[in-house]
Amino acid sequence: MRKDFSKYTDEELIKILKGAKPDSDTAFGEIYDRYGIRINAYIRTILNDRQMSEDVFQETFIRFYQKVQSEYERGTIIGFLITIARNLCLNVKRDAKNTISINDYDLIYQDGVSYEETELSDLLMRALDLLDIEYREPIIMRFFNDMPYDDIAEVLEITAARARYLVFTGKHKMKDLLDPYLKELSNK
Amino acid sequence: MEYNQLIHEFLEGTLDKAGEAQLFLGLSTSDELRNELKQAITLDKAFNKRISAFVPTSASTIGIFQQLGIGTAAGIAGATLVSKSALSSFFGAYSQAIIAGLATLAISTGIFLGLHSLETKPDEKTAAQANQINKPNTSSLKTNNLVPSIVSNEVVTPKVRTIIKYVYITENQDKDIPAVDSPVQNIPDVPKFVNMSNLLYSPKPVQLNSKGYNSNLNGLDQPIYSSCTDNLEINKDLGLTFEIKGNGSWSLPSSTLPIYSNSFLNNTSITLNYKISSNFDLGLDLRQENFYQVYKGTNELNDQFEYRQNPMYLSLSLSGKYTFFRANGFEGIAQGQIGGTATGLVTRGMIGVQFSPYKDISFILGGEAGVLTYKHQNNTFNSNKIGIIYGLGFNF
Repeated sequence: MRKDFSKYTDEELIKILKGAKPDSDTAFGEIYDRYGIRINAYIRTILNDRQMSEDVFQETFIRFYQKVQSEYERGTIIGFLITIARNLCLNVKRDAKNTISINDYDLIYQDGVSYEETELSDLLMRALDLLDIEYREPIIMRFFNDMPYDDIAEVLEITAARARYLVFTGKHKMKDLLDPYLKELSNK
Repeated sequence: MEYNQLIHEFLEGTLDKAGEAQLFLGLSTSDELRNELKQAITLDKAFNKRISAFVPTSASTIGIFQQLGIGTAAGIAGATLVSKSALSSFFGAYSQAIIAGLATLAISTGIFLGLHSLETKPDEKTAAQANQINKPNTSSLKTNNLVPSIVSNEVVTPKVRTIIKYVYITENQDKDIPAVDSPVQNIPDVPKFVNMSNLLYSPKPVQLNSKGYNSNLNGLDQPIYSSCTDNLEINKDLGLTFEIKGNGSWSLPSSTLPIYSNSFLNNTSITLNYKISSNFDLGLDLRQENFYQVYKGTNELNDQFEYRQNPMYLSLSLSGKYTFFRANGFEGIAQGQIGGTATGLVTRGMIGVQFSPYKDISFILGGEAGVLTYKHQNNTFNSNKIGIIYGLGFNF
């Protein structure tokens, strides 16, 4: 029977993961359970390409499993995973050819049309795409990955205050982009 | 500070009291500010909802675990891998736990009866049911060879009624993207068809709660970012543990008197613990146990007597249990208890091990020392004893 590691802390899981099978495999499964969705959210949002995201997502966890033995010493698991995922995403973007960037954008609001919150959720992703990557990354880490500002700062190699500023400003920009929809929803 | 900043910090939970006062004053007088807050909440709520759309695909999960060669242990049914038959899945998933639960119950009951000659047995049905509480849904993969169907968990994106105008400009993408040391390695193709009987692992289902909020907004609905984790927690335990334990003890000095045994619990204790942290439980312990008492006193004529008795006392104690190590299902535990009987104060200390073959059930074995402190004719006496503790714990 598979052991239940759901109550174990990240540090305890890492210790087990560095140990012998089969417990290490089960610990890896628990880590996947905890952080798979969040890492997938980060990659999907950064790359905005489903197939490429799946490849990078798999590679992130495979590298994590391989690197945790030698390179993981301290810090949070989510921070370590995000660092791996981020490097892979940046490399994919760097290597991609003929990238299309959006330099100008406009969300046209149709007055009188009723929007549901699920639609807003989709629009949210579009607004995120429109954000400069400088703001997009910390926002994803904060909102989707639930990372504290200190961890975001460590991954992005900036100060925590800077991370706070980027999240606040980025969110403000998104709010401006989605303003008509938010107004309608908040008036309901 | 600007109101935008105040709202942001308020939703983050970092706004100080002065800032809160300023914000609330503004909210009470300004419709515009109230709308601003509503919009911020709506935006955060949308973030919260969106996370559910990022459940990894079955192919990704299978690809990772296959490439890492993880494929022998039992799996847990999850959002991305679903068994065809709910009924077969249930029995497949729970059969081991049910059988194991009943077996451990039978063994422990035998030990209990043998050591204690208890007249009553634990309710087997209840115990078996207790062993199932909060078990994660498990798939049929390990217990029968059913091949489950793979169901994509991708959320269907709703149709959005917007017009979006883009201006596309092709440019060198290297401009804004820093180079990174480690290049991307070739990622092997994910097999489209996978033999599910080799599959080890599947993730747990995602269950976002219906609100997606926490409640630190003084009545205002506030989605917060840290609630993300809570939303994703599956089968969260109550953190309660019910323990029933027997104890065999030796008095210090040893007693020559028979023990009064016609009692309610007869050297047995029941404990209800609540998990305060991952390593510390706090609870209440109800126990009936004998203490060999030797004390001196005088009668009305001032004749001195030595009294000896070995009664059974019922005590209620506050119990604290600390887990100081964990390995392979074993936990080292240290427990302290302080409580009272009709006669005096009882203090106990225990050190032992706890073995949890399954999430919901634990075996406990330990050594204990206890002291009953009591008074007679204004003199204080102690009854000391040592003993062993053995029993079962049921986690909820």
